[in-house]
Formats: sequence, structure tokens, C-alpha cells
Amino acid sequence: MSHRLPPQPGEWIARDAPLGFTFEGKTHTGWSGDTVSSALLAAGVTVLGRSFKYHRRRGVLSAANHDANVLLQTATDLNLRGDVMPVIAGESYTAVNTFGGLLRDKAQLIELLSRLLPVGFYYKTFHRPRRLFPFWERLIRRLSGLGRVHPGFPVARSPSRRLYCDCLVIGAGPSGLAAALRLAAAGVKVVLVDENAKPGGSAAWTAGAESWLASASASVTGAPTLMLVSEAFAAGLYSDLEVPLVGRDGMTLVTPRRVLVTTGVIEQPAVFRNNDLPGVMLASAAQRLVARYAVAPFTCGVMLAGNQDALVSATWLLWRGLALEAVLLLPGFAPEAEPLAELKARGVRVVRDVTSLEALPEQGVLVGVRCEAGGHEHRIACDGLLMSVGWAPASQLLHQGGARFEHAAALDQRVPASLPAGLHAAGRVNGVHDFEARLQDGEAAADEILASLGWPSARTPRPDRAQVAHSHPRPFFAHPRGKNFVDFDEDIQLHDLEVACREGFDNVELLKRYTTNGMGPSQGKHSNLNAARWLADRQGLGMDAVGATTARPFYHPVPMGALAGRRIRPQAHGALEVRHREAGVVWMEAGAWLRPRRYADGGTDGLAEYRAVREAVGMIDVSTLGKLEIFGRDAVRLLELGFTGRLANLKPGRSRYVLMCDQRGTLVDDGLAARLGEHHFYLTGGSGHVQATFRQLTQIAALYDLQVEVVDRTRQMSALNVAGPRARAMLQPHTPQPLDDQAFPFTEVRETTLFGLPARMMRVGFVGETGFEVHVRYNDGPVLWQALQAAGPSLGLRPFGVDTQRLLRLEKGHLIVGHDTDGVMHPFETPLAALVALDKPQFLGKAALDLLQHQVTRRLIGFETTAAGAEALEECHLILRHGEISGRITSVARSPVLGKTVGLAVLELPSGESLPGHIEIRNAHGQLVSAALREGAFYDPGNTRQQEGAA
Amino acid sequence: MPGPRRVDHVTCSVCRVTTRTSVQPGVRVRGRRWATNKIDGPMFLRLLKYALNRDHAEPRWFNTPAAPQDRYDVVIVGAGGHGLAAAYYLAQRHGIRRVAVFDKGYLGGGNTGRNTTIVRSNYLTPEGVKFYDRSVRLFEGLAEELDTNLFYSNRGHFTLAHTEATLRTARWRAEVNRHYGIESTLVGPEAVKDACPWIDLECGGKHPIMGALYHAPGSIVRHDAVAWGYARGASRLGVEIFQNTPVTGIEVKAGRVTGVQTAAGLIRTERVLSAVAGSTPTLLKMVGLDSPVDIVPLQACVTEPMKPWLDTIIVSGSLHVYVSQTARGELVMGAAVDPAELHSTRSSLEFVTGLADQILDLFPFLAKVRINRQWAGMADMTPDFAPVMGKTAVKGFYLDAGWGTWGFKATPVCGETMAHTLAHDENHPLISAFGMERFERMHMLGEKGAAAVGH
Amino acid sequence: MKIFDCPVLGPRPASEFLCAGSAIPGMQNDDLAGARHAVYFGDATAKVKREWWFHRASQLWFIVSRDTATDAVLDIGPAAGSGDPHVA
Repeated sequence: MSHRLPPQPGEWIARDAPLGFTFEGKTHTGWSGDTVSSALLAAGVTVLGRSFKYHRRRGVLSAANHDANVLLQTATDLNLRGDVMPVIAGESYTAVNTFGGLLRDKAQLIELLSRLLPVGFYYKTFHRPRRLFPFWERLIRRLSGLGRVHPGFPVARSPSRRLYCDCLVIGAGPSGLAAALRLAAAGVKVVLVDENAKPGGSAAWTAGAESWLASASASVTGAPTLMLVSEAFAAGLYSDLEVPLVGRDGMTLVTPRRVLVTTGVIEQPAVFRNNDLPGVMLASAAQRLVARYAVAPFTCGVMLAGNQDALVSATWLLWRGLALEAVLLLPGFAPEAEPLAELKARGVRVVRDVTSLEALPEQGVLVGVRCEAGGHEHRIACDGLLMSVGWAPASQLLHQGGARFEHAAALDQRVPASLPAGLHAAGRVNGVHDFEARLQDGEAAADEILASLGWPSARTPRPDRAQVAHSHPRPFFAHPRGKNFVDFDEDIQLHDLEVACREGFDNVELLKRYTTNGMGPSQGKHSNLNAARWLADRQGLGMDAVGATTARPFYHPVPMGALAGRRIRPQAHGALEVRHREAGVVWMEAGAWLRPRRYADGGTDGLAEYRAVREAVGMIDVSTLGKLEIFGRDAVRLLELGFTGRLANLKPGRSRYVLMCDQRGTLVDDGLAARLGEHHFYLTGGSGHVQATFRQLTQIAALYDLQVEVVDRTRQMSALNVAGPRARAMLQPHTPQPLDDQAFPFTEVRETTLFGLPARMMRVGFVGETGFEVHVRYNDGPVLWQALQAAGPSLGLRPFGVDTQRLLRLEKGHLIVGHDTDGVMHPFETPLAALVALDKPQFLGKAALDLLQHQVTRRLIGFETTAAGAEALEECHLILRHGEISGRITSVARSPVLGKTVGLAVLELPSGESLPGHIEIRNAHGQLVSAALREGAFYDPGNTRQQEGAA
Repeated sequence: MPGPRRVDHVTCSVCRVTTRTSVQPGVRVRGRRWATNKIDGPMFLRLLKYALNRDHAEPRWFNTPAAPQDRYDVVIVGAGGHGLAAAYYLAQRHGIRRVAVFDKGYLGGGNTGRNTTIVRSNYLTPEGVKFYDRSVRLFEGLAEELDTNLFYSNRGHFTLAHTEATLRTARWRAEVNRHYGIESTLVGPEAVKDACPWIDLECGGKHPIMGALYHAPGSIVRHDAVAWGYARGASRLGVEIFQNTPVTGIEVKAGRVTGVQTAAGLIRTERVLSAVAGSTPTLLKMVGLDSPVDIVPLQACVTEPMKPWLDTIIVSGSLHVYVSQTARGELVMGAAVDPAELHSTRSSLEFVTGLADQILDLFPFLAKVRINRQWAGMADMTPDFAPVMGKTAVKGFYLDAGWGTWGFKATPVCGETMAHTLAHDENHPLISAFGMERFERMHMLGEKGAAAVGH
Repeated sequence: MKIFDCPVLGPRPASEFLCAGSAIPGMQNDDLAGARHAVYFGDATAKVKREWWFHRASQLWFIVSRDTATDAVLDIGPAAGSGDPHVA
């Protein structure tokens, strides 16, 4: 039987576009414009889901994403909200979290155990005996959870967009539409967002509003500065009014100058036994279903009335051709006489002062209602029970923006008491309920916004907030057998709240956390207010004193794919990348860069690169070195302030090894400072730290108002290190600069040309052979590489990678900051203490280092060993002394040229004791390997290899 | 099976001092129903009791009198896990029961209720390892001791390494941990895949997983229950808890604490414990001390529930994320602290977009999974990522602070050691390295070698 | 998203900046003990603070007055030549 009504004015479905789909394996047909829920209700399917805990049958409650009764699974998505998800042709939907299908869900047996499972039961059970808890936990995990993910789900990242506007209006109901149109009429750039397919909100079921809605909708289309974003919701309101709009195609980040929140109110359920049966729904849900989808949610309905809106809704539903059997009035609710008389005249029974109420099920679906009033019991058969008892403001975004709310007693609703600058509210969320007044409130808000933006504007006065209660203060009916649900997501009953309070969880936050009321997928939209009302009543407190839990993002849940946006993983490309590929490179990631780890042709023992450097000549791309150039009158002063050593006495043409510490004295960077001129330095340092060093130097420059410029050349220069006994022979023919020790001694720097390319050359010794570090313009790097390769073969030139470089430097005993040092190591714990000039008047870290020089409780020092088990030593293996940890090794390698294992170690010396001669290191097999400590270089300690004639 | 034992005397685990209790637990004072009515017995009896008892309600969990007394032996500021645990152990181990716990908000409403509930002991320094190992051991028996199911769930904990540097640190941790008998192992990518078959080891093609530190004891716990369980345990022993009662000042005379000013009036006491995380600088200012901790927000978020698929705890320092799946089926996820000082629990969009971006590198199929809620706490960070604990320059003012992003996992051991410290006015040996005075000596503990995202 | 309404750069997202805190203590020659104390200790309560913020794209330093209770930025200006006694 179809439950589709004849065409309704303004309906959203297209009756010429049928869509076939399956639900729980059964085929159905809906119309384009239907949601899954509306299409199923139209087909007479009322059981649409199972509840989270007791697996009770559930149907449509709000038809508005204010509950999670209808959660669907497809082959590629989970936890879809059936009430608002447009039905897709050919899609197969199932209900989530059933065991054996929706109608034969085996887990419904849990309800029989519900007496055993009171609120918080899991805090009181399963933990004894301890060893059985994993069993219980597995069971609990299997039963909980909603939909299923599958590793085959598509990688659905959607790029996010940005939008800037003068005003963002959130909610296209009457007040939002009125405001947006007024703003647009003034020429202001407005974005109007609504989560529904069409604007209008409740105007679509407000008698007499049809023509206004039609003309307002038309005006929206015609307004050039108004952009309507439909089927998207404002997910949160963040700092400086940023609002992400989330639609099915991803996220749009709106940065407006003003935000107007016209999000309206969320209808709240009454709490009575079996109020969750399919067939029991909010009055506004019925109105949505009728007005939008022309679906009759029932054939015979009963209205539970706690506010004036109930009578208006009842009248509207009758007018739309639905049958209402009775209106049940909550105790204390005194309706206006006129609409009540009209309902009676149309044959609707009126039952006043209902003191007890329950919905009656048959096979889990509503078949009637039983109530008591004035000492009489009434049983009324019905397949629809509508609840109209109150509203909660949809104030989440306003709270996130910093608005303060207080309870307006006459209206019995929380209303904004203060709003931060730039944030405005209008309509029902602002406590204005009558249709005409909402329009006026929207226009008044628009005028305020125009004025605040400096636009000419009228000064429409704000209408008064409603003085009549639109909500019933106590829509609760206790029942000895419970099943009177406050939170439908979490199956929280009235009794659960009472138990929690008695156990001491008697404030709004503890009540939430203990019962999980409001913690489900709909985040308390239909349950927080009732819980607060109930608590206020129980504790004898006012609504303001009871307070509310924090409204945090998101308004509705947001898919991670929408949040993540496009996947952007920048990769820095060095100029020489192509050359390395030609040479058969094996890459390693080094921060943002790729560096050659080694090259394919490493020889049979993998040491061809190593031997080239030690015996002939090698070259390595060191372009990723941090490179800073410093100019200006105060260049020396800056470097003296930033680094620990002296630089004032460095002569132009020379370079010096320098250390940087932070203010705590921790060693953070090292480098080579070359003085190119009186006021001109070139600084090279660690690849990963250059930006931090740049920041530190420029901060000092700003702090002391120095006349100096620091330029980051890291990505502007290529650099190669050519090293080995034949390096000089290799380069000399191609540069006018004499390379002999006399003309170009170790540690000096020259600006010259190499292969005709402008080149800055430095004599360096990191790898322990005669070496020239050549810095050229970025694009000259590959040219230089090719020229060297062409010139080199006769001399045995090979490119070498980072692996070889690390072995070579370790043989020289050179440490790497951040590798051999850690986040708290200071220079006095390293062999570099001499590079700290504490007699300088001022430098970064001086105060700390002045004290730390006397607090050396560990030492970074070299070790060497030929003991058995040395081959199984790895970085970070521990040094043991008398069975206690006494440090670790930070670098270790087998030195081919020395025929032993060498490395660096951090040795703890807690009482300042002197260094022992030997240490014991525990290797990968748990054996203790004895090693001798040794200061200085392992290889060529006298640096003879870096002098002329060494070959 | 025994419920809370009737304790006639208690022994401090460290000092071996035995205190004869003058008052039996469970019968103390102020005429509360909770005080004498205990639910004991095996689980099935307990379930049956629920079924037969229309009310279901157990006795009140918390001793929350309407007004405080005018003097206490100890005043604890902060009714989070740390403060309540200290209160419990003071009463239970040291027989000190005239204890009041004050909180400006509700019980467990600070970082205890905001963290991502991971418990582990895979630290880098010997003092850190010993301390957290004690915490894990206390956690393991805590549900039974407090007779509250904490949902202590041993999941195993993987710290993924995407770089050689992380791999080295992982080896360092594994070596130190194993030396102290703690089960931490450096494993290859295939072991990660074994434990978490749906993970993308390639991480979308950038920073692939090279290995991981596997820490078998890594667990998750229901955080609220820890606070509630300690609060109940302490309440049964007579401790009084005052929610929504801010401490507004601390009276110090001649370098000694003499009282605490609260919204409920002046309380006389000679011993005050500050266990207030994000409000530590404010408390320190009340006693005239400068603060070595800075306050930065730490954010987290949770998805809608889904059926179980993730059994382990996954942490990636390089991607700045950590994730586990709760018993309810939600994914709880967090990242590194925010980049600047802020005394606010506001949420930021950058956090949740950045987190989603990184999580999808590990688990690309989660793109459709929806994040339900995000929140923030205020972390009290020290310069060396180790806590500041124990006695201070002000006699009678004790500090339990600097817990940054790892305070929850230390809850039991902090309670135990601070209770000892307060009871004897002498720092517990396990916290001797954590004194505030180390910064006067410019000494930093080595835990900073570990990544900022440890959790 | 936090926006810094910068007089030099115009409105920019806060995420483009790095916060370096209040000052660089520890460089003074006189009163080394005081400088050391300032490295580790300070008034970390919520209040309006003057902080150094570095803008990554322009590589410029700014001095920002920010209320650390609310994150509200009260003032922002270039650090160079500000001669700000507080930050020095």
C-alpha cells in the first residue's frame, strides 16, 4: 500500500523520476527528491533501524537528522542518516548493527536482559575475575559499534574550497531568508546556507506562508550578491568567525565578516513508555514528511500536545488530509480555546491533563496509546503518535562563538543574553516564534549587520521575544516498567537518569558522562534539554543553575575525507636530482629533501664509494646544506650574539666551525662560518635546522635593532664536496685559483670560477681527506656535476652518498648534531667545549652555559673495539656498568681502513667521575662487548691527509 | 570474592610505616547512606541484584557534603584523577582521612575527562621507565582494588617509525625498557601489518612505515571511571569532595601553608596538594612561586561508533597522530599540542583537518568515517617533558604538575607517590628526580629525546 | 581560523606564523642568575602577553599583544626597530 499523498503544494519530489533501490534486500521505488526514509515510509516500511543498546525497532523520529534512529550501511559508506540522505538509484541499503537482518535481529534478545543492565552497569561488572575481562570486552565490542568499515572503501578525499563574504546567514528558514534578502538588497555579499534541499524551513508548513515562501525563494534566485548553498551544514563556528560548510561534495571554508545564526529550534520528544516505537514521531517530522515528500506517516494519528504549536500542527495536518483521532493535552497545558474548538469541530477527541501515558506496541510497532486523565483510562488505536511538547534552540554554533544564553522564563527557552562582536542571531533560536515576528527579527538583524559594516540601512526594531511558553516544562511520564526514552541514540531511559543521580552523578556533566545521555551520534539534539529539565526538576534548581553541557563541533558528524581535503605532500627537489638518477641513486628522505643514500654500483663489497674517497677522489651532493648569507655593518655582532664562539677575529677569506645553543644551553646546530668580507659572511649548517637558525638570527637582529640582512640561500645554491687524495689534481686544471696549501690552506674560502662557473670554494675536512666544498648557483649544479664526471674517470672519481659520508666522518670522530647529541645535551658534554667563548660579553645561551660548564654529568666520546660481537652493535645500544644503564652508543660502524669497529657514545658520569678506559656495550644478541674509549679522530688524527702531498 | 577489605592497619609500600587506622573504612561520619552500604560479591550475584531490585541504584559513589569543615589535615586542589588518587592513597595507605578535595568544576572534568586514555610505560630514561612501570602495575589491579570496572583493556601499542631517526629512538626505548623487564620490541613493518592488517604501510607513498616500537603492555582505560573509582574509594574512607568550589587563594605565613581560601570560605590546613594541570601557574602564583610550566591546548576528537576493526593502539610521531578504538566502537584520535600558549579549551578547525589528513595516510578507507566531536584540554608543559612533583620552596605546598600530554597514564603512581610525600613530608623515591629545583640548576631530564607525540 | 590583522601584511591566518614566546632570555651579561631563572620560570598565568611571532612566508618578525586567556590579538606590529623594552 502506498502512503503517498496527492501532490502537495511545494513538494520536493519529482513524480516523473522514479528511483529503484533496495533496503534490507527488498526492492523499493521512490521518487527523485525522496530521502531513504521518506521513500520507505511511502512504501509502508516503518521499521527502519535498531537501537544501539537494546536493539529495539526504530522508525522516523525527527525526519531532520536530530536523531540517529535510521542509520544505513551501503557497500561504500556507513552510518548514513536515512532521514536526510537522498535516495540513490540502484543503491542497496541495510540497517546498521543488526545480527541477522533488521526484522530478525538476534540481538533484540538483549532487551530481555535489560533489567540486568542498568545505567552504568559496565562500571560495576565484568572486572572480577580480572582474567575474564578480555572475554567480556570482546563480547561488548562485538555488540557495540554501528556501521562497518571495509578496507576496500574508496579513498574519498574531497578538495576543500574557500569563500569570503560580508555575511554568512546560517539557516534559510523564515528569519534567515528575510535577513539574507534584505542584506542582498542592500548589495552586501551574502552566503545563505541550509542543510535542506530547498530553502524555507518551517514556512513550508506554516499556514498562510505559502505565497511568501514562493516569492522569497524566487528572490533568492534573482539576487546577484546572494549565494544560496543548499544541502550543506555549518559544522562549527571557530575563531574569527570561520565556518566550515559541509556538503556531500566536501567542505567549503567560509570566512565572513559577520555571521547571522538563524538555525531555529529543534523539536523535543516527550518521555513516556514506548515513546520510541516506529509510528511515534515529532509533530514537525510528520509535517516535513507531508510537505516535502507527500508522505502520509500514519493513517490514524494522535497528537500529544504540550504547547500551542501542537494545535497549529494538528490543524495543518487535518487540512492536508490526514486523519487525527485525538489530541492529548499534557498536564498544566492550557491551550487557546479557539483552535481547540476547531479541532473538536472536525471530530478530534480532546483528552485533557493526561497524567499517565504509554504507547502500545504490536510486534514492535505502534498500534495505540493508553493514557489516564481525570481518573479515567483511555485506549486509542492509532498508527501515528505525534509529539509536540517543546523546542530546544539550535544554539550550538552560537555557543561555540562565545554567546552566553539564559533561560527566559515566560517562553521557557534559553535565549541569547550576549553575543560577541560579529555574531548575530534571529528567529526562533533568538526566542522569536511568531511567523511575522521572525521575518521582522531577520530584517532587524540584517539592518544591524548593515550598520555595523558601515552600509546605509533602515533601523527595523527587533520584535519582542515570545511571551508565551512554546515548551512544556515537564514532558515526562514515569512508568514502572520504563522504556521511556530520553536519549534515543543511547537507549537512555528516565529511570537511568534517576539511578545516576542517586549514585552521585547529579550534575549535568556527570549525568551525561555516566549515562552517556547526549553522547551519541546526534550529540543530544533531542535529549540534552529533556535531561536538563528533568535534572532541574529533581534538584529543585532553575534551568540556568542546572546549566548545560558544552556544545562542541561538529553540528553534524563530518567525514574525514571532507576534512582532510586534497592530499598535499610537498617534495623539495634539488637541482641535481636528474644527475643522481642517471647515476643509479638509492634515495633517502631527509626532511623535505631526498638525498642520495648511495649509488647502485657500489662494488662487490659495497665499499667502492668509500675507497674512491680514501684512495682517489669522490664527490657528494651537499646542496641540502643550510646556507645563509649575512651582510651588513652588524654582521659580526649578529654572529657573535647567535653563536657560542668568537668571530670578530676571523679574517676575511677564512672560515670557522661554530655552534649554536638555545637559551637553555642545549646544542641545537653547528656549521661553518666563512668570512667573505668585512661585513659579509656565508654560513653553512645542518639541512634540517637552517630555518630555525635563520629565525634565531633574524630575531636577534630585530631584538638588538642590528644593521644586517640575513638571506636564506639554501634553495638558491647547489653545492658539491669533492674530496680525496686526488681532489686537488682533479680540480686544479679547471680553476684559475691556485689550490696548493700555500695559496688556499685548509679552512680557507675563495670566490673564483670552476669550469667557468662562478664558484665559492671552501677547503673542508669533514670526511678526513683533502676536500673542496664548491658552492655554485642553483642551475649551475648539474653543469658542474657533468663537467666533473667528464673530467674525473681517469682519476678514479666516483659520486658517493650519505651512507659513505657518515662512515668517513665517523672515522674522523666528527659528531652530527641531533644524531649524536640529543634534545638536552650541552657543548661541555661534547668534545666541542672549546668552541664556547664564555668570556664573550653576550651570546645566546651564555647564562645557561656559564653554569652548565660545571655540570658535566655525561660525555660524548669515541670508542673503538675489535672484540667479538662488535659486528652486532647498533646505534642506541646501551652501555652497562655493574648491571646498570650507563649510557648508549649514538654512532657505530666498522672502519674498513682501520680494521676495527669505531663509534661515538654518550657515557653517564653522574658524580663527575673521570672517564674509565673501557666501556661495555650490550649488543643485539645481549652479549657485552668491551670497547676502549678514545678522544679525537680514529683515522688520521694528525690531519696529515688534508695536507698537500698526501696521496 | 571480597569487596573492599576492612582495613585495620595500612602499610606504605615505600617507607613500610604501618598506620593503625583509628576509624574503620565505610563507617565514617556525616550520616551518609553510602557510608555503610557496600555492594560486594561475585558478578552474577551483582547482576541478579540489579534484576531483582527495582531501583538498581547502588549507594552514592561520592561523599559530597553541603559545606566543608573549617580544618583538614590535607587539602587537595583539583578533583581530577591525580588529586582523587592522592586522596585515596592518603586515606588507604597512610590513614590520613581528614582530607578535602576541591574543584572549580565537576569531578574528573579537566584533563582526566579529556585525554585519549592511553596507558604505557615505554619511556626513555630510567627514572621515567620505573615510574610509569609502577603506574601500569597499579592500573592492572585497580579495577579490583576500587571495585569499579575501568575497562582496562590491554591492546598493545605501536609507535610507528617513518624515518631512520625515529627508528633509532625506538631502538633506544626498546633497549632501556627491556633492561627493566618491560616488554618493548623494535619490530618491522610486517609485524605492524600482522597486528593491524588494514594499515597502509606505504602511507600513501610518502614516509612509509619502516618499523615500529611495539610495547605489549600498552592499554586503554575508561578515563572517567578512573576518577570516579578513586573518588568512590576515597569517599568510602571519609574523604570529602567539593565540586564547583574554586580555590581562590592559599595562605602562606613565614614560608608555611596555613590555609586555603575557597568559594566556601577559609579552610585551615598545613598541607596543600596542587593537582590542577592547566591551572598550575595560577596555584603557584597563589604561594608566590614562579611557574616552570607553560599552558598549551591539547586537542582530541572522536568518530561515530563503528564495528571493531582496530585492536591495537597506533601512534605515529612523524604524522603527529595517535588512534585507538574504544569498546563502544569509536575511534579516539589526537595529535600534538597547539603551537602557542593558551588558557582555553576552544577547539580549532586546523587541528581536526590536519589530523584527518594524516589519519587517512595510515587508513585511507576511513575517508567516509565521520568525526562526531572534538574537544581540548589545557596541558601543563615543562621544558624537558618530564613532570614537576613533590615538595616545594613553600613548606606544606606540594606540587603534582607538568604532566603535559601524558598525565593520565601516571594517575595511580602520582596518587601513590604524592600521598607518601604528603604523609611524610619527604619526596617518594620514585619522584626524587622530578623536583622543581632541577630547573634552578638548569638540569633537564632526558625524556625530551622522545618525540613530542608520545601518548 | 585565527586571523592576524597585520598592518604590514594585511589579514593573514595565524597558521602562517610561528610563536616564539615572550623573549630570548639568557643573553644578558649582567645578572646571569636572574637570566637563568627567566629561562625556566615565569608568570605563566593567563593575561595579555607581548610575544614574538615569525611570519614564514615573508620571513619577518612581529611583536603581538595577545590575551592568552581568550586568544584575542590586541596589537601587532613589526619587531624590527620596535625597541620594545619588554621583549628586550
